[in-house]
Amino acid sequence: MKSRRFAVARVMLAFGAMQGAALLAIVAGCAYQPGSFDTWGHDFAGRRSTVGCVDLSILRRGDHAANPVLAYDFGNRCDRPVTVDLQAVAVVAKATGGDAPMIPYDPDHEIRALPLDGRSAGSEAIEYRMTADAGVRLSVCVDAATVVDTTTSNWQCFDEPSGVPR
Amino acid sequence: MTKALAIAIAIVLVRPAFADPGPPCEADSCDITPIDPGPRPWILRGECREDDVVGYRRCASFGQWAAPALGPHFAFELGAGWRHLVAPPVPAVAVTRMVGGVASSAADLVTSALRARVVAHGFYAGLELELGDLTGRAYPYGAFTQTGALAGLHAALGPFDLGGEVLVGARSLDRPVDLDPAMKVWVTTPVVELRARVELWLSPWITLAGLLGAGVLDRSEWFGSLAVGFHTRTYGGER
Repeated sequence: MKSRRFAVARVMLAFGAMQGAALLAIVAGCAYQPGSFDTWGHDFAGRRSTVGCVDLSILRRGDHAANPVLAYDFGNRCDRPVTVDLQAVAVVAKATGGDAPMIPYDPDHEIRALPLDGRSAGSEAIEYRMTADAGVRLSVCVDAATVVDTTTSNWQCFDEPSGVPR
Repeated sequence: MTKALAIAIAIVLVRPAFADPGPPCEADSCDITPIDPGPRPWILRGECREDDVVGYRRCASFGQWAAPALGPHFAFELGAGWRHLVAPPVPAVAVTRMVGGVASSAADLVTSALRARVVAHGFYAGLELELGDLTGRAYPYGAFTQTGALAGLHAALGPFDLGGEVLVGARSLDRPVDLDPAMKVWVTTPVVELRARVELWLSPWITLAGLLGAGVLDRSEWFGSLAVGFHTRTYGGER
């Protein structure tokens, strides 16, 4: 009987250590919090919206060789993975000659649809170039909904770069 | 000749001052020159610092945020448990070398377990190592060691994962002899166990798992275990 009590005590001690380790890991492990627009101390600096499971921030940065650069920050609000498709994002230049679609500058053909794990976050910065000469570019518009393939459009236009984030 | 040498030295010394060094970059693979040297955000990768815009960076490829979701789901568990086992009889060869009897043939013991599993599409497979003290830290000491391969299936139910698994392996008992504590007998036997598993997600990467199992080869054996699991995919990537 005495040895059994000792055994129970040993189990409790073992679980005490495990609980401590688990608590430490829980505190240290920082999953993306839905609606926080912040991960690992990095604030989503751009224009914020929520499309499906994704909290999305889009910022127009300073131009690259006279081409606009859009910085995307995104966090998955859901527990399941979602597909983030930055290749399919609809970007249009509003110019003096009318609207002109823009395509991402991707010389290495890297940009593609990829899964984002549940409660995880990521970021990318992409330069866009006009596919045709439509005159002087006035603003750049993005359909944020196309990042995650939702049906409801969510167009956002940026007239000027918003400076350098971070 | 002297003039030519002076010009050559001047070119070598002065040229770096005119060249655009680009972003500071220690690694050869990051040796890029930005087309717009204005102030922009950088990505730091160890000693390498480079532009973070796709197409201008070399150290960090596009989509590194997707790496966990593209990789396999590994789960590592540290656990403690309680096990009731019936020790097999000492082999005849060993008995003939002993004068007295052997340690009790049944034992309740506390064990520690380490499990590593790879999980995919509702199935998992892995390895397990379990260690225990047969004699409750009392002299003469006896040791319990069990290793095996496990396979099972699981399904999500709210914040829980429910599953069942089978373990196939070998168990080794290092048993003391009553009459001569210094003498020990090693007995290795095959083990097959069926288990039920309940896991509670404490955070996206951490679970608390409870296991209950029973022996197949000897049905009087059973065990229970609690374990903390650490996962490489948030919520296992399957919810």
